[in-house]
Amino acid sequence: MIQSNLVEIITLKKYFPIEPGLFRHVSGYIRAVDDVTLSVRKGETLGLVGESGCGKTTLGRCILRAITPTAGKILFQRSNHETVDIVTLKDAQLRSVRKDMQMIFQDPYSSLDPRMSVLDIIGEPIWANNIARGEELEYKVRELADIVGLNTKHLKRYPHAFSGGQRQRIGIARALSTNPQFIVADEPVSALDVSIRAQILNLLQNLQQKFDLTYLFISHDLSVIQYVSDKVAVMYVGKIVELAETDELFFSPKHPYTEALLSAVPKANPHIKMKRIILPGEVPNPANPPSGCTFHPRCLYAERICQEEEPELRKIGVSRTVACHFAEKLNLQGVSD
Amino acid sequence: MTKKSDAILEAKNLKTYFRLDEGTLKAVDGVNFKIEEGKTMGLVGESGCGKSVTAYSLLKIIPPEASGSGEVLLRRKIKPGTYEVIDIMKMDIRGKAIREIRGKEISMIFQEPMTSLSPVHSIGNQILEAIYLHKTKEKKQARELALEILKKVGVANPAQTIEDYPHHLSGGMRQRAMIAMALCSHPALLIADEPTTSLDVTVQAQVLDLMKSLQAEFGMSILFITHDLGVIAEMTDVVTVMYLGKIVECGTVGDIFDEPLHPYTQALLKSIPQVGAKAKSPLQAIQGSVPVPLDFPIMCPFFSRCSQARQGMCDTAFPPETLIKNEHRVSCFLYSS
Repeated sequence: MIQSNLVEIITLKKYFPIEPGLFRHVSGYIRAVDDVTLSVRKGETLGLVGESGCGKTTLGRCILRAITPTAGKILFQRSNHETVDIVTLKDAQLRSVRKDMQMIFQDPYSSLDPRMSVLDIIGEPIWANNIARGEELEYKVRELADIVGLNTKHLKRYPHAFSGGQRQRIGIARALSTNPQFIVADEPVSALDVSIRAQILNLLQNLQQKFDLTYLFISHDLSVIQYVSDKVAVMYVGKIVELAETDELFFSPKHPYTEALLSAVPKANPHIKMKRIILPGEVPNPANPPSGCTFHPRCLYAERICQEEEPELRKIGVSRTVACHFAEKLNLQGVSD
Repeated sequence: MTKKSDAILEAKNLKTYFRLDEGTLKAVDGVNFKIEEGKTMGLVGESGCGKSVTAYSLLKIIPPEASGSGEVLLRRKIKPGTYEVIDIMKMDIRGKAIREIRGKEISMIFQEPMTSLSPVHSIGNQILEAIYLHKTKEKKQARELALEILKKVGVANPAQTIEDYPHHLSGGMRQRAMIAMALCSHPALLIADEPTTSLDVTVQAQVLDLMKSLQAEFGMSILFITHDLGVIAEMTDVVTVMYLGKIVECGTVGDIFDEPLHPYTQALLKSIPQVGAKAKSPLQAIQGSVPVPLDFPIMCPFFSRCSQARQGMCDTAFPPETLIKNEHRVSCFLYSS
């Protein structure tokens, strides 16, 4: 494992069996995560973007082993520089490694237990991991609440007393409670009002600097991804189609799907009258993806080879990988200045 | 000099108050606007601003515990060249007159197509219901119309979709089915309440594109409700900004984006991340959160979060509306003399 990487995902697969009928006979598989190789450097924010069903949430959950991958490796470098493979860890070791990695969820309304006080919600991981008890625990919780901008006088209240933005802060405080190195943020601002999003995005950036955190930031919202990420990976039906430094991806994409995604985002500027790329058809069924390149039926630039041969995710340029037969030849449109 | 289109709908001092045990919730508090023929008016604001309730109030679709007042004037074509102006607010909600308006003159599409389509009726059944009510009761003709309208909204296989149930279709397809239902009567005004918020970005691009071309073909007006400023910039001609049940600013889409006047509009534009060159410039969050409009005192609704608020002035009265130029109006003490 490269020293500067915190996480290395190697040929990860997560297939869900489809079992119709009474006899549980497996008729096929939903390839939610289909052979993904990806790394996250220490201290960076890797943005993971894609539309519904592309597998980004499943990937996030696999990394934390909230679900068990079907195949592949997830190498994680612990704070003592020991490298472990998350996929094969035994329970006791997994419990210990889980302190190092935490998750922030999308829906602040359903991700907090409505019957636990805020104090208990934030304190639970501290208690469960034997980090502290009693007065010391309470002190730690107050500190965390303060760091995320919550009023420490309200800790005995229940989630319903708080707004969406405040609840998200509670979730963030809870994620920080075990002093993790790595945080998977799964659509952390999508359910929040527009004027609150900036507050939470700014908070996440401050926390990253303060605690030297590494983020995997999952979102379908490209404007948020561009704002927070150092590098961006684009997913389509379980596969990574492009991975590049943020500005490179946004200004000169190399995969036709990335180009279409960027083109589809409505720009908050009424004077831009760009000709939009409207993709035909719909996202294919992950249980029955098209042959060759999964994107070929909707691709404007597809040729015969695209239908027959699946393109490899290969390196072009210093820090960019693309899965397209014509990556070097195509001249694609990114976002304008 | 271009001739100004006539207004097909005008709301005058529209109010919808909910009398609850806890107090009076002024969801819509004295709203005035005009929608011109063939144009799109955007209604933008965050949760709790009253934009959805405004839309429902226009058609008097408000629950029994709510009381509405004001006027909603619809300019309706009787025959080519002749019009009448009727006030929807004066109509009996159980009468025949309002049924001639709802789904016919004025149609509505909603955010969550899965919850607004009946899950136990086929798509065909639901479209035919609209056709039987407003167009023709002749079965064969009605079915032809249904197939035609489905084709028009871009459904690839109308004969199949007509037999499908909502759960068979993807989000984008369901939204197309809803648009088909809304358009079969060729309404003069389409109210679209967050129609693309729950859709993937590439599907959103398809649906917005479809709405634009249908608008051109049918010559209809659209009231487009959303919190997404990018969509507002793309789809609308004029924009109305709401906050806590009141209109704080309105103007052409160019005015609102180029010269936002109200501190809320200005703050909103500075707080959203945007795709493009300025991506990394720091977001300026709006502090605090939207207050609950329950027994809200007489004052500027944005006072508690405004960086330019003046004590003694902004917290003692509601600011009068000032006309700045042409169509650009703002309700703020900074501009009233």
